Parts: sequence; C-alpha cells; structure tokens
Amino acid sequence: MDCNHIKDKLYLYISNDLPKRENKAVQQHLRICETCRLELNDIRDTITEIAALDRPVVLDDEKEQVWNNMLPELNLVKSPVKRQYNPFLMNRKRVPVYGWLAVAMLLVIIAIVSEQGREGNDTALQIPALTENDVVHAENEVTVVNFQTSDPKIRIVWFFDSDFSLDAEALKTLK
Amino acid sequence: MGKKQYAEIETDILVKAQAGDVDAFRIIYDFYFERVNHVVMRMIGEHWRKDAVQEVFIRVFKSMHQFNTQKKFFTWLYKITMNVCFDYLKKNRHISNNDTLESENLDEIASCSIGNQVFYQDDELFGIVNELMKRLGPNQRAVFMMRDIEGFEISEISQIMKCTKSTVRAQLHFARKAVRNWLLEEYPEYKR
Repeated sequence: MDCNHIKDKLYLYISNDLPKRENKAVQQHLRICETCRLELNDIRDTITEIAALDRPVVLDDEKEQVWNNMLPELNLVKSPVKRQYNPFLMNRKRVPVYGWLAVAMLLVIIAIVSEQGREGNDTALQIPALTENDVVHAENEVTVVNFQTSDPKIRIVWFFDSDFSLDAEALKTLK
Repeated sequence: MGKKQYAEIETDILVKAQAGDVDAFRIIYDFYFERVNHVVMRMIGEHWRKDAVQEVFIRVFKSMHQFNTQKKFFTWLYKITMNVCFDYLKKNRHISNNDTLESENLDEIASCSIGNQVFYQDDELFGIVNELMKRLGPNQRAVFMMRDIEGFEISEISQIMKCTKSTVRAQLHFARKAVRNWLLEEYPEYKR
C-alpha cells in the first residue's frame, strides 16, 4: 500500500477501528514512513480535540421547565407495573398473525364438528322399551324380536336361538 | 482515543421507574438530562431541541418496562434518543441543513446563550465544529458523535443504528475525514 492509501486508513486506525489485517498493514507502514506518522499524529490530535469539547451547561430552570411540561403526560401513562419486565413474557416468541388465524380456524372446525355430533345424538334412533309382547316365538327354533324404532322407516328384527332366555330383564338389556 | 467513562444509574432506581414510580424516573431524568440534551442539540440543532428532549424522556418512561436491567441503560436510552432525532429530521427535513445555527456567524455560535447566561462553556472551536458537523449527513453525524464524542464501540453503534459494522466504519471514516478537511480548509488557523 502506498502513502495515500495508508493516510486514508489512518482515520480509523487512530481508534483501532480497522479490521485486523488492515490494521497490521498500517502498523508496518508506519514503522518505516515518517510522513504518515506525522499525518497520524495530526489526525489523532484533531479528532481528540473535537471529542474533548466541553458539554453544554444546561440551566436548572430549563431542566425544570422541560420536566414540568412532560409531567402531566407521565402521570397519564398507565402504571406499567402489570407490564413490568418479565423474562418469561419478554422472551416468548410472538405468534404471527397467520398463526392466530390458524388457531381461530381450528376452533371453528372443532365447534362445527362438535355441533354436528350433538345433532347426530339428537337424531339417534330411539328404541322403545321392549316387552314380552314384542317377542315372537317363531318356528325352526328361532325367537324373533320385532319392533318399531322412533324412525317410522326403520323397524328392527332380531333373531335369537330359541334356547336363548328372553325374559323381561334380558329384554331391558337389549338396548 | 480514550473511551469516556460515565457512571451508570443504579439498577434499583431503574426497577422502580419500570414500576411506574415517577419520582424514581425523575432521578433518571436528572442523571441523563444533560447528555440527552447534548446529543439532541448535536443532532438536530437548537430549534426543536427542547421538544425533542421532552419526547425522548416521555418515550423512555412509556417503554421502561421493555428495558432489560441486565443491559446498559444509556445504550438503550441513546437508541431512543437517536430514534427521536431521526424522526424529527424526517418530519422537518429542512432543519438538518438549515438549522438556525448555520445562519449565525461563528462568534455568535461560540457564545450561544439562553436568556442572559452562557450556554456553552467552550471556545470558538465548539461553534466551528458544530457548524461543520451540520454539513454531515444525519447518519454520519450520528456515528461521529457516538464514536468520538460519546465513546461508543463500533459494535454498539451498529446496534443502535441497526446497520452493519462495515457501514458504521465507512460512515465514521467519511465523517472524520470530512470534518478534519473542512476544518483545515476553512479555518487554517487551527492547523498545527
């Protein structure tokens, strides 16, 4: 690197802000170049002088004035107690909008399905309480239980072996 | 280039302010007012300074709950200050280049005052540098101020400015070079 190139690097070199490799190159060049060393000192002094400038002195009454101006607004701020820093809350990942939409859709689907299920239960076939009158002892050693359900289109017929006991208690359990 | 060391405010006070304690926030305000004021003054000039400083502290109070007390408070405060300054510069584009300071002559700048009291203790150089800094773009000005006046590290600046370290380096390089060249060209009496 020539002197012009190095001089350009000095603006960051003075505060160690150059990348390592460039920093080393500048360092090596400065060992052998008096002109660049002078330039380095000059840049450093100028920037240091600028940086060392005194801060503005602010009058207390101005500070009070600004405070008094904003105090009503500060008092209006809802107490941040409830929203105080909480590592668990602050670190949680935010669910994006489409995430909430997906959750909402899922809830709607669950609601629809459960509603349909309920309707399905409501329309389930009602089997009347069976009595011994519904039992017909047919031929061929078969006992027939023949009855009408709540749906007029559906009639149920059960066939049992004739030795199967169909007393009143057993009929109740047939449901 | 020595890094400036500043005291940090106690964590207890920050925690109280997070809980909405206005008295605790007053302590924070007193502690940082001058520094914030200085940054705002450098960034946007005198015209909107008070309004901007006020907005900085209101924003800080409103978002105190977001601050992680494990981190440096001033860096966080500085970020908010910069955001407010950039908002002001966006809203009032003319103030970045035509601030009232520019129209005044350097003698007046050097003894800028509020009422009958001197505002800046420093000499003419402060006014000149202030003048020169106004010629920089807002980003370069901000980087120059953060690195050379406030002593932030490049990595901290890149976080505050939300840009890469290389960008910060490039802006810092440009700003230092420009300020020095302007100073030497227009005010050769400062040449060593």
